[in-house]
Amino acid sequence: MEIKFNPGPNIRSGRSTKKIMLYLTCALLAVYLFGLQFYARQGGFFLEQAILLPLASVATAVITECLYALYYKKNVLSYLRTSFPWVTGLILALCVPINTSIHAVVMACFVGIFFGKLVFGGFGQNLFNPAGVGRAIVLTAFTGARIVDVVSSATPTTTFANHGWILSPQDMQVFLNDFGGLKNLFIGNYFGALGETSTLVILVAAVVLSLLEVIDWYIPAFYLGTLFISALIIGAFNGMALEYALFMVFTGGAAFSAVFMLTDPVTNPNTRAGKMVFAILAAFLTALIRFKASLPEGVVFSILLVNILTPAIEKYFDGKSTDREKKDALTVAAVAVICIVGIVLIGLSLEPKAYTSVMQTAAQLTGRIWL
Amino acid sequence: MPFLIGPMHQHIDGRKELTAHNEIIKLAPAKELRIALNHGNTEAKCLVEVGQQVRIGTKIAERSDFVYVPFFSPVSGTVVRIEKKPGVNLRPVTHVVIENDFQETKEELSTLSEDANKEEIIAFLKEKGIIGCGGAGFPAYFKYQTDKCEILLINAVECEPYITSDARMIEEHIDYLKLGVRMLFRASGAKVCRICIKENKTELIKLLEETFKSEQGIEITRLKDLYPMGWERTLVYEVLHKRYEKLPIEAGAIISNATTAIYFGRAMKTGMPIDQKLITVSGDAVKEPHNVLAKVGTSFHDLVDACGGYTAEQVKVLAGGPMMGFSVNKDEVTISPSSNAVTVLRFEKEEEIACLRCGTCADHCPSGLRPVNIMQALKANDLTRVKLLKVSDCIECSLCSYNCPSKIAVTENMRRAKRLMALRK
Repeated sequence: MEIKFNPGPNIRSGRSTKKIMLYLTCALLAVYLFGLQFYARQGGFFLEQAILLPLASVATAVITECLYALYYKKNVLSYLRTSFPWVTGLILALCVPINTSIHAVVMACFVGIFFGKLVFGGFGQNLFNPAGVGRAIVLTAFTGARIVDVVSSATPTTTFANHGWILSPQDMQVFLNDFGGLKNLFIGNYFGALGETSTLVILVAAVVLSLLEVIDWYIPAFYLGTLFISALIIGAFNGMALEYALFMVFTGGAAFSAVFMLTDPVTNPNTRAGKMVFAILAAFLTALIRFKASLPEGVVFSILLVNILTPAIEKYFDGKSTDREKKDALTVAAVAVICIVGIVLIGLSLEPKAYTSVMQTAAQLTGRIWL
Repeated sequence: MPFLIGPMHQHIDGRKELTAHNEIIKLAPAKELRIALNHGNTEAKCLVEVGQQVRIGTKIAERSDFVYVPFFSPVSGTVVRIEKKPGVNLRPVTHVVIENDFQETKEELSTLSEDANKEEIIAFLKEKGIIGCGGAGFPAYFKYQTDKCEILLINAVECEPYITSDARMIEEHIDYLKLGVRMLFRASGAKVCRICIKENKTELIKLLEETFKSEQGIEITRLKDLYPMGWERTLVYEVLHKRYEKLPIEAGAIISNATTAIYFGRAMKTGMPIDQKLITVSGDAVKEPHNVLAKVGTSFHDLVDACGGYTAEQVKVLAGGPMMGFSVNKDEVTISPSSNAVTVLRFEKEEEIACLRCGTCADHCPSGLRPVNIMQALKANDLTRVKLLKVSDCIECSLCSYNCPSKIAVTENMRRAKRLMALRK
């Protein structure tokens, strides 16, 4: 019998980073399965893409980290077990457009993992969300690397962005009907990224992950809440409060990014108040990019931009939490009010354009039956 | 506002069923008892010589700087050695070794009448060396030297996992508790006294309600089963919703442990100082966990032996519970008046992985600290920032390490930071 010295504590909770990553992987797979069933029904090219995109992305992520481990003469298996590259690969595959070519995804994933994560020193050290970096690469460097197809290119978000993010209430109805109505936008049976379309599945995953203490529920709540409230006000000024607000949170990967990317603890601030401010600012940037840059996918750039702010937010909220409770509460409230007012002011400057139902034209052109 | 700054506590599986209901082992005094002369990190002045005869209650040492703490012999016999050996905090400390003559002869021991006033009570507490039995061992008399007390909190929370000795003491000595609490209440000058206990200890609550229903101003307060509910700051916040700078008296409160009140009641009736303690010997690497009543100066080895010995090849032996207990590397260290548990656990190495900066440590810190930031500053050797982050407010409750998903030894880093800050002064 031997008595070992071990400074306290001598019991630990059952919660571990490995379990957290396992649950997260399961949730991502559930979201993926929903995408897969939709594209399986489309068949052919889309089914192929739905299978190959995640395979290529995850393989690239794992191989890149393997090479990194080998270069630094680390035990590859134990390194991979504590670095979780497949999570980045999976998130990237789920958030790029379905018609992205395989070589673009491979390149994006490599850049995301290598320049977004490994150059900072690997897991836990990165400033930017690696999948976010990869996604931005696809969107900017590989805009040509999409297999062009009228139907799949016209996602609700791209269509809406082409019309300047506002429509008259009558046109809004026509537009929503083109995509099966708000109910279908919520359920997610429409073309878009593999994992971003089903707000329903994502929100269920979010609830489960929050209960399992994998993600902090208030990050998606504050992000989507800020978007929702400000869109509600903008919508109300244009005679259609709820439709507009729901559309803003159901589409364009807002829910997916809020649940799976903004909650990445490595790249968000490490205090609760900080995380709330982080989420509100991300929502503001999303709206700003959507409205003013006319980019359909404002979400990913907003994530990368708030990632830059993380150290500054942490610095602001530094110190003993009990000493600054009131100040923190005031800060969160002030940031929320300023951001919502900001989004509303920008949103009110938008002018509705005339809407022609692209979907009907497209369906006639390709003969494909919608849904 | 837990929503904004985190819950600052956490439910932990207490594993108290291991020792909550089985019999108490009354351990026969050993041939040799070794009394460690440290009070916290301060060494007391030895008042005996080798060869000197001592009786039960003979004062063998005292600390008398800003607090007065006497040390008494728990048995009668002869001082055979005075030696420097590692104590429970692993630092070398003077031990008085008394050879037991098994005669149990006592000194003339003074008692206290039930009509005693505040001054008499305080003097008696001081003379008998009644110290806080919750673990820290701060002398009880010290807190009562005030007239600003509005509420007296009797701490029967016992939030540390595995430990049941406070609960068992209350069951065994409810009359001493009643007397001790009544007298402490008088000494405090408070209008209200609340006995704080976890809501899941239903049988004990019933016993307390029965006992104290006739007493004016004494209430039973039920608290949630959370850690560290028994810590003064957490207790004051949960019961009174107040925070304070340094001492609970700033919030108008005095806090005394239930076992302290019991030993005070016992000293009033019998004149005995704290010569023996009820020690919870528990954990997953001791054969038959039990509460053991043992003389002060009994070695951990004898206590574990009384419970059937160790059951694993590699064990951790802790003076106290698994969260705040000190790990010792030899089981020849002995119990003191402030001891309440020896926990024996199987040794398993945790694999540490990279910090996610998730902030779970900050959400749960009962002091409201941000361990993740302190570790960052420590890594960067930025001691100015470590000081700014108030690492000295850390009580080493270990909740940060407990909750860390990456299994990082966060608390150990806090201790390192505190040591560095102390060196810097």
